[in-house]
Amino acid sequence: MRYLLTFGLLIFWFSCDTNPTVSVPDFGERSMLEGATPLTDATKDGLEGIYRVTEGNDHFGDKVVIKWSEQYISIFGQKNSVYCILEGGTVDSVVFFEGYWRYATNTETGLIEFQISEEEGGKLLKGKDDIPFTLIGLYGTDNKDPDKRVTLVFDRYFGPNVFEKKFWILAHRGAGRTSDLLPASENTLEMIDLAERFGANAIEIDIKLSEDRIPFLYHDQTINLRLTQKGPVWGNIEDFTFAQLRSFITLINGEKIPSLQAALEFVLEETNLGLVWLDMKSEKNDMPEVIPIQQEIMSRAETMGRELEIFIGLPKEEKINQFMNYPSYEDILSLNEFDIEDVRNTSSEFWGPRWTLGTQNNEVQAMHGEGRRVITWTLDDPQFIDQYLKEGDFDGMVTNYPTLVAYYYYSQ
Amino acid sequence: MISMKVSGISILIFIFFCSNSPAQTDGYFIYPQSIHAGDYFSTIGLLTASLPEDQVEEASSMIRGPLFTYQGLYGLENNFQLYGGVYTNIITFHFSVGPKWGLAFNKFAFKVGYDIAYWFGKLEQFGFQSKIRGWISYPNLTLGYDFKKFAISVKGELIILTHLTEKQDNIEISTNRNSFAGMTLGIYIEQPLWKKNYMLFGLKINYTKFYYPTWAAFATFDRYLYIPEIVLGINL
Repeated sequence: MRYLLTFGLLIFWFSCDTNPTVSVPDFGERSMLEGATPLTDATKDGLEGIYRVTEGNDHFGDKVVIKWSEQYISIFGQKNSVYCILEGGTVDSVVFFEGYWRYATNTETGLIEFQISEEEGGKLLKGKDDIPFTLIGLYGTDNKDPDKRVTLVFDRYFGPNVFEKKFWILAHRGAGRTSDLLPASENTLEMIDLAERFGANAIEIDIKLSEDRIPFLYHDQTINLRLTQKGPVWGNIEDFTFAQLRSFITLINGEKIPSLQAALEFVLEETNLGLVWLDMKSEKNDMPEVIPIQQEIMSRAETMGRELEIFIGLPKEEKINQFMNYPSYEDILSLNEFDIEDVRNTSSEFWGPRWTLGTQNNEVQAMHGEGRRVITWTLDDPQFIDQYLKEGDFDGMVTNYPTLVAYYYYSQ
Repeated sequence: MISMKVSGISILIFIFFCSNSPAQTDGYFIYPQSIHAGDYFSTIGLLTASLPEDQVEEASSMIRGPLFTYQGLYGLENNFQLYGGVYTNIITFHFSVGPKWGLAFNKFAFKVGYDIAYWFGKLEQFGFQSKIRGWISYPNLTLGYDFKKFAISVKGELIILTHLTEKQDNIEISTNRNSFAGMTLGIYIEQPLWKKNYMLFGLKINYTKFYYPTWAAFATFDRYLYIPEIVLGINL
């Protein structure tokens, strides 16, 4: 009996699924978007702003931010780091939106839909932006039909701070971590595609170098189950050729590992992201491979009239030495994570102090005085995001929760 | 309301008169038997957990070493016992103490307790100096059955975070949480290993938002995780 019990307990123990998943809810055939007229850019701009939550505030908090990115309307709140990603359209002057909501720090999600009445929607579509819009909607849990009321009343447009100075919201690992149970794996094109919907206008991505010296996106040094599905290869990820990595490794959400070239071309051609931080994570000297790609993509951006800066992140002394051995390194856009003297030594355009060292306003102002910019990393705590936006003088902030930074930044 | 009180009192009277104190088995530790006043039982062992991959920033940041454990029980009058325990994986230390009270009905026994733990950890990783300390309360209930040659016990406990202070570099994040963080359920077998030396084998499931041995991962999540543990010990 003892053995039976022990065996039974072991079966129970090993059957426990310790890694949860979160599926993105989808209206599917219930969607009304198919026959709707897409919204114009002017209409979208008219909707951006701060809204009071007059119904459903137990779920969404008292205040939310609405921000557009291409065809997606995003709603950012503070409560449980809530966000909504919706698409919109019009049918007979009724403006409507549908999509999903999610609490960023846990697994709760569901469908959500809004309408703006025919009267208000008609004025909005004609560009009359002096009326207080009201978004009346319903939300639900997972894929169930939305049945709980939520009402957003337009309060005000974004404050002057938002327009006076460019502030970079850098989404960590492309838009977030695999561990945050997002619809895509970290450091993939699919994740980068989500960045702007999550409120980011810039990204940080991690760079490794394959055995045949092709730079690619991946964070850890090993092939592991945190990032990849079970497969035939194991060990140090930089010991494999890029073709082997593409053939044998499937990331957690089914994607293939992208090359740096493909990722930057995607940023350039498929997004409006304006800044890319290349976090140089390779154990090898990858400057001779990475810098030409950086230069090529920035040059193409300039030709296209597209504002895009890509900088080489220098997180370790070893990387600084490799960088300073590269010809004309002074002319290459870079970020130094060490102190301000190191920033000067590497002629870096950016300084990247970690947030736990404080706001360091004196040092930040010294950097600004020299025409350099400062980006702090990696802030996820609501209290400190708010505090650093109010008390700090940074030019940008790396975060795993760009939706939360977007909420605090745009609601200033 | 009166009938509920009467029922409660009746149950307590029933428990008091129906309970007895069967002979103390010196080898058991988790099995909730009565302990003679002044007697001291202890167990030493290892606890290893299957940690969730998805909780960490990177795979190498997960501290995967087992926790070494030492726990003791001191018998008091009127079926009370005093519990004390130490858990450590070198970077984390967890000290707990608490009263327990139990009764036995022939082979069946139960015990209720309330343990209070102070714990702390210190680690330098990714260039960060990280420190943490806090208080956790564990109200618990243990049920057990003695099969003569071995005993099986089931122990459940609640995890209540009463305080947590976390420091990274110059920044101190202090939260007085007093929040319910989850629960655990464990099943344990205790049997003789050789002569009168007993071994302890247990499987424990943590269903919790906060699992203190993984503090160094600095998880930003507010979600429940299943964390299974294997418990091995030798009862001294």
